[in-house]
Amino acid sequence: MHLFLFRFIRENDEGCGWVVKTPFSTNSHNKKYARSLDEIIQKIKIQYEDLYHSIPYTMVQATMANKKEYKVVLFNCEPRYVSITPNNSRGKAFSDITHADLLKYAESALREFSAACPAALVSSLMRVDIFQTKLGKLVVNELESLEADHHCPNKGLKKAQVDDEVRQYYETLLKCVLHRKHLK
Amino acid sequence: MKNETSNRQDHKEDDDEVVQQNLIRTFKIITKFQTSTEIEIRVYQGSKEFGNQLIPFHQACDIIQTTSTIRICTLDCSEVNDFKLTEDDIINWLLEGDIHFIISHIHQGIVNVNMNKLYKSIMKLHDHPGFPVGDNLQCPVFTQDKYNYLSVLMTKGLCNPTFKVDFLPIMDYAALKQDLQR
Repeated sequence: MHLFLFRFIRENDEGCGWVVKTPFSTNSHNKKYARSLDEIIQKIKIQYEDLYHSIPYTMVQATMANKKEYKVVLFNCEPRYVSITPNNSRGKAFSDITHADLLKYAESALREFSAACPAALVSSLMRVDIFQTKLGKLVVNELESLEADHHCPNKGLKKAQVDDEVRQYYETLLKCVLHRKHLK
Repeated sequence: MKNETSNRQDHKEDDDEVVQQNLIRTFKIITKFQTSTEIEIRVYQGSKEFGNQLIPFHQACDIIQTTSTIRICTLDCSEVNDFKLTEDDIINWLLEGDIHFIISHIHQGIVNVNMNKLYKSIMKLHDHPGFPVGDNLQCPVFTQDKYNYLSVLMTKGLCNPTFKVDFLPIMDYAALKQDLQR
């Protein structure tokens, strides 16, 4: 594992160290930062001791130099708005990308994911979290569905619209399942 | 002496087993009082009061309830913890309703959950009426199996490159531990 990990961190370095983070978690739970290979191994070991009975793996990624993270809210793969997030104070946050480009990127990433993953469940509320590398390339950091916080600027009007779409989505689903149940 | 210790250990395990069974029995009694004409919808909703799907889902239920005879029965993560329900207990509880709905990531907020067990057990809902069903139960965004969905995006250069470190099964645990300590 050491050799592959060593190659990985050499090839994926934004100059800000790396992050060891676990799957099956939200809100940066269990996220640990490391500055060297030894520190990464140490953090993996800590996570392993704490969590091996619960989760099957952990992950290593380069910590982004650009701390600005955009959270794009979509419904049924159609982008709606860029959600408000508190700025991360631990580093620089910069970007000149327009919201229109972000919405387009989020839509295309979600559609690519949906096309490549037959089990994908993307027909309701989704959130695509996006970072920009120091070279300016957009990358998806996370996809979120059921627990997606989707606060919105402009007095929350767009959020209210999305919530109403989610309500309609469940209403249609419930009607559909009940109809099938009655037919049996 | 060794036998006495072993017997005490056995008794303790028996007691734990009895407590566990009683909790599950109590849980079943308080959640099951369905009448024959009702269709019971069992909902796993994560948190009791918070959650991004809670309000829209219950609004939808209120609308449906005006035209159909349905009974909504919910389970949240605090009840799972209080009643010490296992991964199988949660899924079996959903299966015992006529229809299931899962509107939160099941594992969130649950103490001592094993993801492999939970998401293997969830496949029992594959053909049960409800949401989600079928292959959607394995959607990596729904299960929050992050590497699984990132690897799909990685092949298209759409995500931050990610290195996966497998936590090996118990049999190989000592070997990995040695490797990490070296």
